[in-house]
Amino acid sequence: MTIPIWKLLPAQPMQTTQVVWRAWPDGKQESCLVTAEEYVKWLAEGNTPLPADEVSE
Amino acid sequence: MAVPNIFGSATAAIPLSQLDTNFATPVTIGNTAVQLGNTVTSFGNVTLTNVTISSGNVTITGANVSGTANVSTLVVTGSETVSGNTAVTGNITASAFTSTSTFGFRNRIINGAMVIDQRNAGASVTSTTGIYTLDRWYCLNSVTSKYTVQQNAGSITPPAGFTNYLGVTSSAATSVGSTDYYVLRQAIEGFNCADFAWGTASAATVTLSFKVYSSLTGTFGGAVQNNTSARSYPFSYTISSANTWTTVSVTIPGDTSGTWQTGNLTGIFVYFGLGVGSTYSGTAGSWSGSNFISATGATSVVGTNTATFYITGVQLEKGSTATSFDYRPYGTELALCQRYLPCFNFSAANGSLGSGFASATTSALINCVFPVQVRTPATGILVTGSFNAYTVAGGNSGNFTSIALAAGQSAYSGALNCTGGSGLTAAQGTFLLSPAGNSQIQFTGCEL
Repeated sequence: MTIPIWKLLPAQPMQTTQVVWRAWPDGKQESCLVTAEEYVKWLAEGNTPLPADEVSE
Repeated sequence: MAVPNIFGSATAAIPLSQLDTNFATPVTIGNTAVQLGNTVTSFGNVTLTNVTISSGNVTITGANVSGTANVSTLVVTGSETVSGNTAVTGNITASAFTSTSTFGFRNRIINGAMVIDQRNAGASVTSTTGIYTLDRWYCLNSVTSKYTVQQNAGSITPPAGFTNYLGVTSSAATSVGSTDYYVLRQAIEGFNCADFAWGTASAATVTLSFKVYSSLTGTFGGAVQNNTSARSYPFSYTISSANTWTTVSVTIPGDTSGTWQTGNLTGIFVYFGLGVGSTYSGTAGSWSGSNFISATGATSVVGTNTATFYITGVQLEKGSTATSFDYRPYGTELALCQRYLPCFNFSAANGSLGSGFASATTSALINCVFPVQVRTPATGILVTGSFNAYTVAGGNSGNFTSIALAAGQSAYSGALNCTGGSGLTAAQGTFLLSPAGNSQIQFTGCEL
C-alpha cells in the first residue's frame, strides 16, 4: 500500500500546534499534531508535507 | 516383714521412704523424670497422638508445627510466622491483613490475559518497525514484515482458565544480525510500579510469570529494562515440549541502581525476545548497565518460517513467588487499557460519538469525552469508516470527507475537526454519528 503524504491543515482558533492529516487508499484517515513522534520521524526521513488549503473568510 | 502401712486403712500421708522401692523409681515422660509427690508442669520431647483438647486454652509460644494440625478454633494473640504453605479449608476472619504482595491488583501487567484488542478486534496485523497489537502490547523490530500478530492466532486451545492469547507467527526464515531485534513488549507506567522502589536500597524483588506455547523448543529470552535502556535484566526460560502450554516463572531481584520513572512515563519495560542479535543480548540473571532486551543464546522465533510463539497469563508482581493469575473484571481491564487508547468502536448504524457545533455549513467541531482519564492528551487520531453530523432540522450533513484532530485536546476528552460535509447551519449544535456502523476512531499518542 502506498504511504500517503501528510497534509498541513489550516490552523484553528485556540490551536497552538498545527495538525496534519492524510487519507490511506483503504479509506482510513489519520491526523496528528506536528509534534507527534510518527510525524517528526516522517519529516526526519526527508519528507515534506503538502501545504494547507487557503481558508476563505 | 510387716507392711507398715496399708493403703486402704491409712489415715495420714504415707512417706515415700516407707513405700516399696518400686514406688520411688521415677517414671520418665519424654525427657522429664516424674516421681510420686512431684509437681511437674512441663515435659520435654513428648509426642502425643490423637490428642483432643475440648476446653480451656492452648498456648503455643515460639513453636514449630509440622505435619497436619486440625484446629477447630485457633486464636493467635501474638505474632506467628508460617514459612511454608498453609491450606485453610474453612474461613479466615481477621481484623486486618497485610501482605508483602497484595490481595488484589497484584498484576502490574495490563491485559496480561490478552482479552482486549480494541485496535484490531482479533484481526491479524503484520509487523512494522513499531506497531501496537493487542492492547498494551507493542512489537518493536529492526525490519518490517517478518511476522504477524493476532489474538488467538492458529485457534488452539488456550491454557486452562484462559480464553485468549497473543499469537506470533513467523512469516519467513529471517536471519538475525548482531544489531537486529524482534521483540514483544509492554511498558508499565511508572505510577503502577513506583512501589517497587527500584533504583533505591529498598528495591523489591518481583516475579514475572506467563504461559507460553511454541512450535519451537529450547531456551528463550526476554528482559526487563528502565525507561532509558540504561538498566537491563535479561532472563531466560526453557520450552521443552513443542506445541504445549508451558508455565514459566522468573524471579527478578529489584535493581538498586539506575533511574526508574515513578510517574506517567514508562516505569519498566517487559520484553519477550522473538529474535535478538548479540548487541542487544546479555547474560541472563543479572543486572547490567547495557541496553539488553533478551538473553544471550536465546532461540529466534523469526528465524524459522511459520514458527509460532503464543503467550498469555503474563503477570508481574511483587515478591519472589508467582501467585495465581490476577483475573480482573472485563470492564476493569478495558478501562485500564483505555487510559492508553481511547477507542470508539461502532458496530451498529447511527451510533453517536460526541456532540459539538457546526463551525460552518460544511464543517463541525465535535468533542469526544473519554471513558477514563488518559495518561497524556492525544496527539493524533485514526479514523476508519464514515461519520456525519446530525442537524437540527433532522437530516444529516452527509459523510465528512475529512476528520482530523482539533484544538482542545485534554486528558479528559478529544476534539475533532470534521470538514467536507454539507447542509449544516453555522453555530447550531450537532453531534457526530456513525451512519453505517463498522466505524472506529482511535485517539493516539496516549500509549507508552
